[in-house]
Amino acid sequence: MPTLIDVNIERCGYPGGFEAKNIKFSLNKGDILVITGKSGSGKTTIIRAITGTLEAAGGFLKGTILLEGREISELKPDEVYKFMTYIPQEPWYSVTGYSVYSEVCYTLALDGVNCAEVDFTPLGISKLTDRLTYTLSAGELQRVLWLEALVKNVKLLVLDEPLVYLDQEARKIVKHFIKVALNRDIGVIVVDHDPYQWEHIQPTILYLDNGNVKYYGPWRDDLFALPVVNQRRERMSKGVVVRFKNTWFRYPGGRYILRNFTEEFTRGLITCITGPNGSGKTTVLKLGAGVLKPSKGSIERTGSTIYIPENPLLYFTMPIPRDELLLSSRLNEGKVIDIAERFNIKHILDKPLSKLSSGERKRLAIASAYLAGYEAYFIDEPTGGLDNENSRAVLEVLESLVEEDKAVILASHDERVIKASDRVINLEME
Amino acid sequence: MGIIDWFIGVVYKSLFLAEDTGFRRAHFLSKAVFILSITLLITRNPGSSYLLVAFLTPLGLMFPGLEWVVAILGLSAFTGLLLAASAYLVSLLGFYQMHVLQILDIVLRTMGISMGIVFSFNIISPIELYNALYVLRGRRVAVIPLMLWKMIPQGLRNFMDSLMVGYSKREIFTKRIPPAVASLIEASWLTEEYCYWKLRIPVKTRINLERSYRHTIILLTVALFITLIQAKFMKVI
Repeated sequence: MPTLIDVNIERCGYPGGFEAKNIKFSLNKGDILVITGKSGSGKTTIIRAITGTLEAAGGFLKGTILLEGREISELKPDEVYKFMTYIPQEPWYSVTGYSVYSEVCYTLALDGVNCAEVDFTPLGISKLTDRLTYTLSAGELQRVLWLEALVKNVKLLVLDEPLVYLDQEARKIVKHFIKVALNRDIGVIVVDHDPYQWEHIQPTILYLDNGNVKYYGPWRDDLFALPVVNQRRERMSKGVVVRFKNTWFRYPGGRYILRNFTEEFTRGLITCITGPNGSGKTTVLKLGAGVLKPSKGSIERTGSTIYIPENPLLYFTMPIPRDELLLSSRLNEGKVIDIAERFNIKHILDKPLSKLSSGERKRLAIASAYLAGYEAYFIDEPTGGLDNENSRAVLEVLESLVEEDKAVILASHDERVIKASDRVINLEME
Repeated sequence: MGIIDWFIGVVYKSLFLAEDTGFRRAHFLSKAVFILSITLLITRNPGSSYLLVAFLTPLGLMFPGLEWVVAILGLSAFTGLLLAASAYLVSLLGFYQMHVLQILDIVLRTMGISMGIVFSFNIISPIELYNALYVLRGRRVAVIPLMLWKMIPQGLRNFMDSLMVGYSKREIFTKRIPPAVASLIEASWLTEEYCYWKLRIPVKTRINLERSYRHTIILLTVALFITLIQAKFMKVI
């Protein structure tokens, strides 16, 4: 019986750019492999190679990827599709249907299965069937994609940072379904910057460093340094900057997400809003920053506010970091250089935004907002998908803001953020 | 919030608020008859197209709901006022005489026509378009309606988010277009990459759409009323 997937890469990467070399690993049915490493170590490139999309992304591959002994490039699209399901870090981009029903049924129609035969009850999907997919949270979307994978009966699951946008409850569900998949003899490849999330399964590890294999073999406790948590210093509140009074809010066509919400956000503290997916964390940020208006109740502000979305691309005004910072600093070149050094973004000042990593974009957005001189910063998922080093860099930037008596309000599930925050507000699901 | 945010908001609510419930579950033949009756009213008897406001407001309250009705009334009144204002301005140049009541007529007729078009758009399910493409042997492109109905509102939402950020940055709306477009381009690249294999396979079956007899009968009844009124106007009966 051939192995499920056999990877033997001499070289792969992008012409004139990043290259990974001598990557060899294999996976049998019912086995799990965790690919880990810092940002820029080659995890995404390897994922593209094993899912057969590297060349479509402008890359090259010298080597072989065998799926049950057959070279991936020689397989028909529907053979590859039936063999594996890839669930990316941002699950909303791997959904094609506008509603949960159309998404699941279309996926099955590719396989010739009529969705009238499908049971939507596992994973609680039956409650979501009429919902529009762009209104679902990351956790809900992942559940939809899991259902598709289970119904399709795939042999291999490839999951990129599957826990990043999930609350604790949803994380438990994903971990449970990975166990279900393994029991069904499905092979699982997980990419995660934090291998400790998978310690309980003792997976095989592929540890990448700058495009090379640093370690490949069974789980070892001594391989990775434990994540360093930013030590929280004792800080004092320096006065209220935003006050929610009996605030209610709902989006068009939706139910009330916030009901009678009363809260104060203060200068000099990092406040983290956490809670289940869909509980209204992002909505609180948008309301606090004044980009949404409450349906009922009031919000008072005593200082200027800014909202930095989870996708920082929506924040920027200029296409080049230097121009963005110059705009925010009112053309003060000296300040731009100073802040670029402080936020560790000097090396990317002249790179186009499209070439920046998530961590670089997040730090740039915060730097730009800082230069514009706001008093309260409402930031969505500031460390989402970042490795420990990048996450620590972002958290240090946020700490420097509160030391200057700014208010920092974050929405996050990330334990690293929660531990570094002075106050944590846990939103309950309405 | 400026007029642009409001405009994008009402376009979003008017076109993309509906789920596959209500009149979307009516039989497709009843939808065809309904849309035909509206089209005939608008094209053959444009003077009475304001009647559509009276017919479509209660239907709209049933599906997609109050928010849709408020949005479409706002959007269609806005369009009607723009058209009426342009007609009035041209009349001031002396090309023709225009009575104040004619301004009201233009606004009401535009509202009726816009509501008719937008309501028809809302009752068509993308799954029906998918099935039509499947039957017409467009099996590789059948996904397009499903994706369009997903990506257009997503793009509008991104645009609204970008405008909101611009609002707190105190920037004019034109500066917010490039980031919104950039995020859309990035979203389409990522969708292309993550759905690479999915988008290269022809579909092999139709998608069932649950039907509602109640909504089928209501649509046919309203279509009959519209046709009768039209016949009355045209003095056929």
